[in-house]
Amino acid sequence: MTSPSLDAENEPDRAEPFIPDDDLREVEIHETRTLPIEFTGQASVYFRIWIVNLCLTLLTLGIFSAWAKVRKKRYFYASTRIDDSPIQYLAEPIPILKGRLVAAALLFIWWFSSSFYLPALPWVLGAGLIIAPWIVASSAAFNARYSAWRNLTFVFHGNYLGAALTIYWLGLIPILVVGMMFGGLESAFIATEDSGLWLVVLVVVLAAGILFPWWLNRLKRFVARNTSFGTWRVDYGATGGQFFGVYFVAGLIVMGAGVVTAVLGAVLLSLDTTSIDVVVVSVPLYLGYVFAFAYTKASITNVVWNHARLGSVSFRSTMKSGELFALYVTNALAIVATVGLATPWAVMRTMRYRLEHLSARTEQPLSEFVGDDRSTVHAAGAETGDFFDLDLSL
Amino acid sequence: MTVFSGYYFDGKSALRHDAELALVGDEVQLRHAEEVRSFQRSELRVSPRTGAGSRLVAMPDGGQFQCDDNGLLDRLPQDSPSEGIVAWLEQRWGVALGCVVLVALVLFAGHRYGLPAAAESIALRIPIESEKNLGEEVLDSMHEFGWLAPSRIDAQRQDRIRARFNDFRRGQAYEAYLDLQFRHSQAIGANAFALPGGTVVITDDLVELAENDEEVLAILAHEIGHIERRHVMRGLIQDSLVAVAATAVTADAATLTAAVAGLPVVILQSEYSREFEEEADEYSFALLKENGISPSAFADIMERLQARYPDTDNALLNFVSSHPATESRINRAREAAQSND
Repeated sequence: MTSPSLDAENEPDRAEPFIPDDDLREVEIHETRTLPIEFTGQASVYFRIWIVNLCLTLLTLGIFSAWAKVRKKRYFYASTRIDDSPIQYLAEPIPILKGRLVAAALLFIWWFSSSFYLPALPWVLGAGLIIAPWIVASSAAFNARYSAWRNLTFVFHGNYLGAALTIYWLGLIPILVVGMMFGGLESAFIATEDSGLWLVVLVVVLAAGILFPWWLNRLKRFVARNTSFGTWRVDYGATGGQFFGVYFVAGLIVMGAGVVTAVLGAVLLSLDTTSIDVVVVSVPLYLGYVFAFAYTKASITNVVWNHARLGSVSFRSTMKSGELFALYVTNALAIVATVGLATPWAVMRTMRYRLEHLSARTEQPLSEFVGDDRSTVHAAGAETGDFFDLDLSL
Repeated sequence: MTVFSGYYFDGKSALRHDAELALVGDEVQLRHAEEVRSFQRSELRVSPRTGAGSRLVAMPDGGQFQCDDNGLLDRLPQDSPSEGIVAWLEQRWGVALGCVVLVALVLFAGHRYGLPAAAESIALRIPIESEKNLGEEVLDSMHEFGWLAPSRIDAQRQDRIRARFNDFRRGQAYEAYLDLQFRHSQAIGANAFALPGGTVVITDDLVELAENDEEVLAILAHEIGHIERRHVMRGLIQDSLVAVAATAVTADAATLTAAVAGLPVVILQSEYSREFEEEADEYSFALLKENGISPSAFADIMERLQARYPDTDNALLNFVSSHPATESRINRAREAAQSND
């Protein structure tokens, strides 16, 4: 509520009902203003949504989970208000149910071959290589199409080829899988005699581990840059190097916790040899792991939002690792102490924390978010597509 | 005539306009600025109630009207009708409390009776033949890792034990699949296990630890129990079902913190394997008696094992361990030896 243009922009009808938008635009063009983001979700309301949907999901042996997902997402979205207008989740349960049935079938095939028929596993993974880009692209498209704000939906422009080029960057994943298909599982993982192959596998796995931050950044960039809202496209500027820095520090945190755990174990061992409490010894390692998790989450979220723009809207995310860590630990304690009943409360306070640390500013008035007929699907007209309109993200 | 006041979004820009929606009989009027647009009631689609307090009404020309939630909106055509009843349930504390009780009951009964029964009935429909491949693979890799080597027990003793093992096999449901293998192992010491597909492996150390053949057979009867009761397949199915159910129940918690996920699954799964051990014990007592051997042979060999490996019985391991406390297993074997049925 800082600039006088806010009221005019927000409620042109009420403030100055008969001034056309064009005149306002002239005045506002070089001013920036904040688009307030607030979260109005309440634990008491979400508790009822959560327990009713959990109950129905259990009673229907999981079929209702599609409704549960929609009901929860509708509440999360509707409780998130940008510039005093809620976001809207438009998906309906049936397409999500279809997506879940397909996902369940795929998971069953994987479970079956990994449990009973290992020789088939590489071929199952090979088939997975072919469908993975489709899953990435169709899920991104689904999420964009069914998310709306002020009657405008997001649009995802990426396709199968783009997704394949992104997730199979440098061909590392296909090399691993195809190697397993033709080298056989045993020679890839046991390979006691053939040390040359063993070395190749080690190098590929190590390279994949180091390159993972760059890979993840490319995936996020692919989804972001192919998303638009009205005529405004998302711009994404975070780099793989920034991601690597975050994961490197997270690795150091876990290693540090490992050292503390080892020292503590050695001290306890020298004090009393009869009983070493495994639980006590592993507490520092566990806390270190949770802190590294919180650090990664906060840092990656900050990096992504602080380098993203939507047209003239820029974002600022200021999550703090320490605060998020405290939130995680208190959440876990509360959930365990209440046998799970505190879960909705924990979900709400975590979401509130994330959204309270996110802000948006715009340099142009929102009337610039004009949709042309080709790129915009208004929420009111979003209809269910064909069978392949699936949400596979579980 | 009913009038709702709220906002209008034209679907072309992200601007918000003050507006009113008026219901006049079958006609609906949207008034904003100086414009008035009319539609038929049946052309509107109202978004489901969310609990967050506002509803959105979609109009046939692509416009959208937003207003505070109002019961009267439920009388207009709904966008996702199946959610109406769910939203009604979600609003009521009485329903929520009832759901807490129901969830607790379903989880308890499902875990205690539902999942084991479902896993058993599925497992019995899957031919044991399908496990054969997996069993061979496990045995091969145990050799490759150097955990197992050919047995050094003399052929005479092997034949003697095998002959009585064959007596045990007779009349079993998986008679054709039951197979006995002797192996030498430094890695796993005195041990015996049932592989998927019906093969029972016993190590030289365990055969040598036994005072007599009856004690060896007591162990083999226990392993036959695992195979006859399909514990491999049932365990696999139960663990998978538990994992799926736990994922569904803890999905919300898991998104917040990886700290709590996973833990309940391990505890629940180890509880199942404890039950399998007890079941295999009971099976072995009956099988031993049928073949004229007292279940006290089982108690004797268990006592010998406990004497050789005393460390494995500490309190922490027992809680997580998949084997019930050795003491109670020994006692049950002695009780079975005394009862005549």
